[in-house]
Amino acid sequence: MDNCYLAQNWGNFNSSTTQADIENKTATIEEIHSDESDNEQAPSASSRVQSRGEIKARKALSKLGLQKVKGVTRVTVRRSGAPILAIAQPDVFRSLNSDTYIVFGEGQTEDMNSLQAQLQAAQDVLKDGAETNAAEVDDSAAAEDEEEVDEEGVSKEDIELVMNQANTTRSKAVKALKAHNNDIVNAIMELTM
Amino acid sequence: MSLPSADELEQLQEIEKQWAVKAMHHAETYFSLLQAIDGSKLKLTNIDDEIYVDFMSTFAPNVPRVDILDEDKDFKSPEMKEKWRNFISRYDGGKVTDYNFGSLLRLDASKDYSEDNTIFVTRMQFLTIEIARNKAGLNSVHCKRK
Repeated sequence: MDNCYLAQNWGNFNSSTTQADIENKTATIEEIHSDESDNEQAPSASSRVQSRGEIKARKALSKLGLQKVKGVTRVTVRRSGAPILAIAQPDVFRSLNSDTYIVFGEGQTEDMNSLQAQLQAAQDVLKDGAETNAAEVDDSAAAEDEEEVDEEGVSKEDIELVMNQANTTRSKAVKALKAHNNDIVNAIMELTM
Repeated sequence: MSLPSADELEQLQEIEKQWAVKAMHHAETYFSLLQAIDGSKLKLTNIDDEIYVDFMSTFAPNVPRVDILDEDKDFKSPEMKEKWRNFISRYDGGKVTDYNFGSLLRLDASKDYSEDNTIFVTRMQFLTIEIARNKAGLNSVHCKRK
């Protein structure tokens, strides 16, 4: 697997070189390397063997006046439909004039399913705890849900429209309509936000 | 949740973006409503009829053509601005929720929201025009289910 990643925030893209850039050139990657060799306690990506490509990339990027972001222990890249790519102990550099990040480190795929299973298990435990505590509350809430809510002042067509559009229960639709003074659009907005 | 008052806030980009998200959501919600139900059966406020009658009498004899609006002529000319201001202020004080919120309005009733077809108005202007459109059946073309 390739071990050099570029991350970029396109929302604030600005790549022109500025005065700040030049002034901050002291914080180049080379210097950070020497910093890190002093600090042996934190194993970082720069301490492992670097591929030729990575050395070249680092050299090229060192001229851009990047600043090291300290204290980053893990970078994860989430892609839709693909396993999570996690980089442990990465070297993260930040461009000063734009919100652009450059990450060096070895990526490891993490199985989403096992993570999700863990998460699910944790949630289940929490839920079980909550359920035993709030069993009574739940019961009354459920009863309220089924029970006919006071629909006075709200037309049946409006309720059905809100229910269909926002994909919600009757009682929620009625409550939203009442809260918004029968404004259908606002009621749907509240339920779909 | 208490919001900071308008005076305390500068013109923050973040807040502008929040507004845009909200206004877009409002526009999308409204349009999907038009697609789900015939506009002439749609009720936007509790006082649709009152607003409609008021609109007609306030702007008579030069009621804006609600099917295809002209932003300069119908909203931005000095006398129209004056009329709109008086009209909108009548619905202050809880009669119409969010009456002074910014909203997106379509210029041509027969078309969807698009860059060219959308202008910025207050919620009251949006409601008034859309009520008039619904009453005239101008939004019925968007309804997919007959």
